[in-house]
Amino acid sequence: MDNISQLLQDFQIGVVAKGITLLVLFLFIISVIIIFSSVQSFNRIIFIKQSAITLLIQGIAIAYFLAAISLFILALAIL
Amino acid sequence: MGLFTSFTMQPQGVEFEHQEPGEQIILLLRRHAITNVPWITITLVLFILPLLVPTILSITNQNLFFLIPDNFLLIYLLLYYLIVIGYALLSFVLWFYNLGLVTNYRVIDIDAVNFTSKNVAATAIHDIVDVEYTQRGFLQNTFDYGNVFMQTAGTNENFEFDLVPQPAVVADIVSDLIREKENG
Repeated sequence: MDNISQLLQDFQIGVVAKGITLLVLFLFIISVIIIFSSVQSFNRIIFIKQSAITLLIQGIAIAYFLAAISLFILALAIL
Repeated sequence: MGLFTSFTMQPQGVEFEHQEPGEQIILLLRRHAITNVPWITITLVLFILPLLVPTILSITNQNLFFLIPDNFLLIYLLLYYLIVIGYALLSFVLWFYNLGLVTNYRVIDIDAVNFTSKNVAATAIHDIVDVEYTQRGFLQNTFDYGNVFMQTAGTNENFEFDLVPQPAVVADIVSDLIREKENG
């Protein structure tokens, strides 16, 4: 009986830990979306044509967004 | 323009929102590149920190990592590095889009306060009544940067370009533009 109770307790702790981790990652993705949309918004205010930097910032913002999504999927897969 | 260019005279291929026909940008200003040193340093330290933590814990004989399963450790480590990269990206973008523009018609101050709020203010050149600049401290005098303050007529908002390179040159250019407008 003690073993079953211990097993249930461990299982619940595991579920709570996974839930918290996924919630943290979900909130992180929302903050990344805010960052991503803000970069687009800033780019509308001032646009530098033929500038590699503007493209670089856009590229990094997209890569960052994709990395955050990938991390969430990885967490779903391995946790 | 380079990655950390903060002073450009007559920049080519730059456009901004609500640019009027015939309006040309004379000066494009950002905070001096040296003002990026604090966030670059913080980013580097935060990058190295996880590599040092196991060493520090082994020295103090406090190995706490065995409490955390490996899969959780991997996810939290990746999340940590993404947050650090996000901090660097945020700091760079806020610097990059914090701009001061001097055109042949007006002065525009674009302040990206944070990622969710920005302030864009503009005033006509002929509304500026006084231009002055300040350089305070060792760093500002060594690297030649400071604040340029523009006082406007009446109840209009005063303008300030913070920590821009060559503030004397900026003040001189704006003064010349005011004189040109006054002389017609």
